[in-house]
Amino acid sequence: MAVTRRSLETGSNGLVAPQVVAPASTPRRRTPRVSGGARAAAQRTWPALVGVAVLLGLWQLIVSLLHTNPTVLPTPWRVAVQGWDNREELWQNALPTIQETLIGIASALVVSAVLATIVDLSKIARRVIYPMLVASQSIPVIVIAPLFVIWFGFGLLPKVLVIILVTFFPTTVSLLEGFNSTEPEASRLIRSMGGGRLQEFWKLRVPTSLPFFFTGLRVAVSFAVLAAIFGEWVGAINGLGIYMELEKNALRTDLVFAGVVVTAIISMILYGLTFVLQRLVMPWYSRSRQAQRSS
Amino acid sequence: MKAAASPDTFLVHEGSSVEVAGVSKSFRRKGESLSVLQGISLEAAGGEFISVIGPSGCGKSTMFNILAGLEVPDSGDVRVNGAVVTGQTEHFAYMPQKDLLFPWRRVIDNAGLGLEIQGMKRSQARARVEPLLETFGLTEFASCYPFELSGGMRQRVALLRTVVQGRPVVLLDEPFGALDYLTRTDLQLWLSSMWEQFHWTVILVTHDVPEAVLMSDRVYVLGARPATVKRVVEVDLGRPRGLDCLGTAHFAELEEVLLQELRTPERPADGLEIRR
Repeated sequence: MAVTRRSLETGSNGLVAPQVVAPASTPRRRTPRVSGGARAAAQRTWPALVGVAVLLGLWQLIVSLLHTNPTVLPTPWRVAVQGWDNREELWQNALPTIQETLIGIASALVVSAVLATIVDLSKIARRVIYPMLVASQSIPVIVIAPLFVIWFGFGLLPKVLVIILVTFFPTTVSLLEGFNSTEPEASRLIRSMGGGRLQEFWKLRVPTSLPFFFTGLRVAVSFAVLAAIFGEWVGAINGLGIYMELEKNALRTDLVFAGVVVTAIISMILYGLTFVLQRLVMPWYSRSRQAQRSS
Repeated sequence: MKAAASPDTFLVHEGSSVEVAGVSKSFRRKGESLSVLQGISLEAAGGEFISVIGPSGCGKSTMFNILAGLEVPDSGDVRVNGAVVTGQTEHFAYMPQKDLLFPWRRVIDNAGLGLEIQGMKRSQARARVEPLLETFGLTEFASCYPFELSGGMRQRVALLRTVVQGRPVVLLDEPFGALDYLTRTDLQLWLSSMWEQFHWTVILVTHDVPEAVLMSDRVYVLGARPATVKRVVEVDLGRPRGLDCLGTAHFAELEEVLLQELRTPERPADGLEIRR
């Protein structure tokens, strides 16, 4: 059981930005001094930072040596400088993107919680909903998203819909998987205590599913930011998606890259927040995994 | 280990007797009817400790499900204090083979799980469990999570979770099967002393012959499928039984009788048939 969980975890870590995960996933709970904890965190972070620095250095070097036109490929230094000069505008466009992402994820969570609960509690619902769930993933978002703009305009709603469409699947499937990983023996125990289906669900299946859910949530979060950008890209008043599109049309490739950097930062922060949330919701889980690791 | 909690905190139905009368059960598998239990009868008077031993796959778990009310027999009854309770769950407190402590519940809340399922608020369940922690040697672990406990401690929590429900009969399903020899012996002696203190009516199912002898007033030996009661052995060792009891000649004698009974005829006969 524990092994499955761990492999699931690493699976998701491998999928998205592993260098962000390291400091968040292994916090030092029982370190006596704060500075010691900070030092340990720094020790774990520096390889990632060095890696990024080396890549940027190479990029800088090659572009300067080849004298590439900055509208084709700017140097990282130029991206940084121009990004800083335009920080006000970037921030103003990042805000709506962040807002859409958060509202989108929250809505997707509600949708998947409801769906997963219904599917788990009723066999018939399972047969009806599961195929639709899978089919929903073959909807080409690229085609649907512009339709959302036609139907619902340039506001918040079409973006939220795109995010829901993209993210509810991983969270729903991980919840269902989590429910199903409940030990039949434990269900028997609850029944022998006189518990019914609902009690089994709340007291056993839901807590069992949590580690799986958080794995799904991490996948969903990284998709959600991209979905928000895409939702804006097809039509919006402001937001990083439309910002990058407009800067691209203005041949400001450096500012397009600056937008990419901001997007990446938002993704990383949200990704890290899932670990904070996990720690709050399942204090027993991270502690037991830490204990396993150290033993 | 002396009684710190008054027995009434357990709501023990002192003297609840249990009787299994002619229980049979068969399953359909691939169109064939497979008889698992055939006319099983056993009984325990109030406050008695009985054991059921048998070869693996003899249908013990089916019998347990029937006792716990999770399955209904094809024929026969389960009676508690003379009343037919077949198919009802509320008379038996069941302790499974694995401890099945929930990793997200602290010790005190794992112990109170049954009470919560039966409708108590968490605070009420805690209040019920709390005075018993000391008796079970769990006081300092009350707010630990299960992963912080040793295998033996986890079984103590599991037993507390079982008996605190205050149901008339306690069902133990190979409760110490997964533990190492030393821990197992410790817990067997401990359980024995707990039983001597509280006199629950207990049905223990086990593979472990010495365990059955050490704990029980009476041992039922089941034969291979379909399971029937092959022999009933009264364990006439005195109480309390401690470590010293394990070394006595009479203990060894009873052990041998049971082992002999478990190993008898079917096996060589099976072997011969295979050779042909």
